[in-house]
Amino acid sequence: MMTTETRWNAGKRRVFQSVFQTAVSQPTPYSTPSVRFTEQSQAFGGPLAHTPQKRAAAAYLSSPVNPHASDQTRFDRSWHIVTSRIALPPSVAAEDSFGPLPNSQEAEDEDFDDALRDVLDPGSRLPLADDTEDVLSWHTQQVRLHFVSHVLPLLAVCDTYTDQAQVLLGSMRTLEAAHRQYLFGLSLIIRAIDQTEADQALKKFRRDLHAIVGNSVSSSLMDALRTVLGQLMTVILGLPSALRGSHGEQKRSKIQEARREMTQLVESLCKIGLAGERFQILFAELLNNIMATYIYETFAGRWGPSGDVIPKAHAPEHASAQPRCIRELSSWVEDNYGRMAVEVTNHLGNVQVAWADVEKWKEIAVGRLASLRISELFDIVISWPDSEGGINDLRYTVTTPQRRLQLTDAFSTALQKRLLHSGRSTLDILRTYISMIKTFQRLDHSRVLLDRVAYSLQLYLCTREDTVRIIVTSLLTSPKEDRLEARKTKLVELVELLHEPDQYRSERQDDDWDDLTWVPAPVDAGANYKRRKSEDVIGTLIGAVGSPEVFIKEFQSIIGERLLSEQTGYEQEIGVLSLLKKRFGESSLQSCDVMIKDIQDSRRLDGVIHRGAMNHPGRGQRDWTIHTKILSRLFWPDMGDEPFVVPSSVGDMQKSYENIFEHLKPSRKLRWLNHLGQATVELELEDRSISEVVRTYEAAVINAFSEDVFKGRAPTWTFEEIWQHLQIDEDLLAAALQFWVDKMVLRKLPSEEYTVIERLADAEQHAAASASNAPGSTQIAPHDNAPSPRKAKSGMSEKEKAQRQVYWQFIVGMLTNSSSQMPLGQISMMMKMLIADGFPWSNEELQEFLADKVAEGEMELAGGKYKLVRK
Amino acid sequence: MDFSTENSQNSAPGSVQAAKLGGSRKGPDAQSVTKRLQTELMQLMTSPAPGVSAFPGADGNLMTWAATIEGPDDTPYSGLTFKLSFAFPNNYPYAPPTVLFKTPIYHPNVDFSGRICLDILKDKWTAAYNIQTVLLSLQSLLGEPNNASPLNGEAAELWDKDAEEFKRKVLGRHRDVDDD
Repeated sequence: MMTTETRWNAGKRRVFQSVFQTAVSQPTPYSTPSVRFTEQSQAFGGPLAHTPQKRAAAAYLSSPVNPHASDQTRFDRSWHIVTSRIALPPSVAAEDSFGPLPNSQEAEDEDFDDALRDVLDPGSRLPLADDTEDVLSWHTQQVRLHFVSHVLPLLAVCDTYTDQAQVLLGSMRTLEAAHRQYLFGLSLIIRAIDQTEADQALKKFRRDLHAIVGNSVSSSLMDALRTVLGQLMTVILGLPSALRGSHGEQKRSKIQEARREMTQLVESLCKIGLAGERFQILFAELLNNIMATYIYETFAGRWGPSGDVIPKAHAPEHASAQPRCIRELSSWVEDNYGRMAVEVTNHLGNVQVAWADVEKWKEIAVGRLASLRISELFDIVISWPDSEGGINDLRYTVTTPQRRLQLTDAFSTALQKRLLHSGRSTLDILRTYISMIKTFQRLDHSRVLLDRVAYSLQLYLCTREDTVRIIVTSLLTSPKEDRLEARKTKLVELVELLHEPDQYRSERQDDDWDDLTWVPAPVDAGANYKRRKSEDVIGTLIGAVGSPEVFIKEFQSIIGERLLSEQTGYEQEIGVLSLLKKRFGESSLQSCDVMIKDIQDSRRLDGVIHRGAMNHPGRGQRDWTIHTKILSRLFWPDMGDEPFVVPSSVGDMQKSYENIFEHLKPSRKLRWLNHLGQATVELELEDRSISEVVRTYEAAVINAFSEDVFKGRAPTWTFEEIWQHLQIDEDLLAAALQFWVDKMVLRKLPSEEYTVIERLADAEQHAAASASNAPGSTQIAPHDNAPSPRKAKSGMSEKEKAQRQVYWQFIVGMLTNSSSQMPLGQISMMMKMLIADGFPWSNEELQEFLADKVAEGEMELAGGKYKLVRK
Repeated sequence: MDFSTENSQNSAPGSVQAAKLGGSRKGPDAQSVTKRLQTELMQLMTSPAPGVSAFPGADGNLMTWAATIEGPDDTPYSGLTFKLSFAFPNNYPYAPPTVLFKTPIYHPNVDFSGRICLDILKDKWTAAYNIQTVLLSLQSLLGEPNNASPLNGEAAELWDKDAEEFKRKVLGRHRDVDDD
């Protein structure tokens, strides 16, 4: 819109000018001689046409009659000739042309030269003219006025273009044209002065002009410049985002092209005076931003193993070798970044890039890379070992304590945000922890960094109840197991580590003296810092979950479960046990030894007893189907005790087994743990027969339905009846009944009685009937609703009772002696501190226990503090 | 290999592991003292002796304990309870603990600041003694003072001469101290 309008206006103006010649000579008002009035028929201040009258008047005025007047007149006339020649066109036609430049040939005429000399040197040539002026400053003044009134509006028009490149191009053309115009006038003037003065004048004029231009640059022009320059720079510096889609030769030519454009741009900017301070600031900002972008685009997520750098860790003396990313980055700074900066600043003239600057840029770039890697550290840790390159970068770049602090801070934050919340499974956390141990070991042999970040993780792991269990079960995983399957539930990494000889380096404290790779402790190491050589993942992990005792205890109970299970070989367990012994020492794992030995012994003993039973008089004809595992009670973890009445046939077998055993081992006594173990049950129903290996209590329950109690009636028990009959724990009974209901062997009648499903067809009828009666309630409960017998321990075992008694003693002792009243937290803390085997209760459990004691009248709770009731 | 020491190295004070090990920073000696005291504590808790009890101080420092003795029946002290403090040296049990009565007591072998004259706490000490035996010895000392070497001459004299007056003095001096 604007352009077409201005163009049309310009055309109109040109036509007007060709007729009336208004613009040809416009005398400057204050230089017009004031000594005379305007002549007749001449308009005041109007164009002075070269008319005969004027010549006559000029002749009159220059007559020797009045020498002062004639000199003055001569000066005025010369002034007029000169100024009308160098006067700028009053308007601008279009943004890119200020009308044709007056042909310099045309200006060769004598009149002008003569006049110019008069104007330039009035002192010697026209000594009597009082009223003289400096044509140079006049020209500067007129340029200034012209710039403000004609160029600025054009620039404003340029600013309105939507395309940034157009804005810049238009503005630059305009400014170039203006420059041409302004300098032409100046060149006419300085032709007449000698070289040095001319140079000076030119310089001064330029400076003035650049000041005007520089100060009047609009922000949108700066924005345009920023965009265009930024685009060129990104291409020249090879930013991946700028060069996407082009390869090899194409890329190189693209860069060449951009480089050329850049040179041109900077040259013309210099020429038109836009290369001032604002440009330099802009350039510096762009350089800064582009470095950040380049590093981010090029190196983010590039952690691939660098191949050539440091094949093995444990070699800190190689740390000075630069990792690949660092090498690439510094050569980029040197070859591309520095080069471009030098090219640009060479044009600017007043800025020089020193070699030290390039070095400083390198440092900055490496620092940026470091902070990029720091922000990525969590991902690096997670994707270990495919992220070795990233760690190498970090090891090379993170050297100062400040950066180390930054690293640990950033990592801790990431840890809190991304890992240590309830959304993550303990397995995930442990897996990350293992990666963390490994990566940080590579990053920093001193372990100071790891200790700093791992603390919160360890604390958090302590709050997860399944931590120890996961570690132990993972340790017991066979390395041959299907990796992918096992990964979902177990930390297969641990198994590999357990079998790695590297993990068992000796950790002597006093061996520094023969250590050739010795380095002093890092400056930011804590007071209790101790150097460690091997990464010792398992040791660290076990340390994280509390004392080794807790760990060993859990190991014991898990290995106990496994030993009592169906499995026949225990090579895996024995192997892991011997490896753990290396760690914790023989004595602490002694009971596990005994446990394994128990199982092996009882297999042998079982055989002996069986042979004995065969020979036993009167027993030979009976099926002898009982097999035992004999456990030494003292060495096994608490198995719980859920007594119930075993079927009489089994009871008989148990009794004779007992007799033979006590005969063989007179000093030992058998106590049956009926609820552990399996039984094979064969059921013959009217339409089907079922054979299952089930738990003993499940077998006992189903046995109750087959007993001869019913004498032909359909066997039916209510829950209460069967409970009294078997004297079994309610939870176990409920679990067993549910088990058989799920197996479609029993069903619950509407009268709350259980009965056997003799024919499946009957059951389906019943199910359909009851489903229609009570929609929404199905006969077959989902399996996972059944209470698991492990949790269903309601009765306290002897051992647990004894333990509670000891704990109570502790509390009494504590409140009698240490402090007569204590809050829950302090009691819990003291217990944890003082009980050598660890205090497994959570605060809630302790609170419950104390509440029981308060209810029993042993204690009282006042003001949040517990105290003993004085008797 | 001892993991417990390693892992307590860089953890903050107050964390479970660090606290559990109490004075583990004092070197191997302190470690064994701690262990011994922990074992003794466990013994005291699993088989408590009637009338005496002891427990580590409320700050969780195993090296200083507080103990309580109930005055034995048929003595002037019956029905009274006495608080004591135990301070264990770093080479315990090769040196005796320093035992003081915290509760003011009128007794021939205890002076007014609570110091006790008992041979097994001085030259007769052996490593076979433990906190419980010390407490039981002190309990029996209440009933059978050793008047041959009194710290409180007046008490020694009264013990033999005037049981009534002695009892009156005992009750007059006894004051329940509460630690907080």
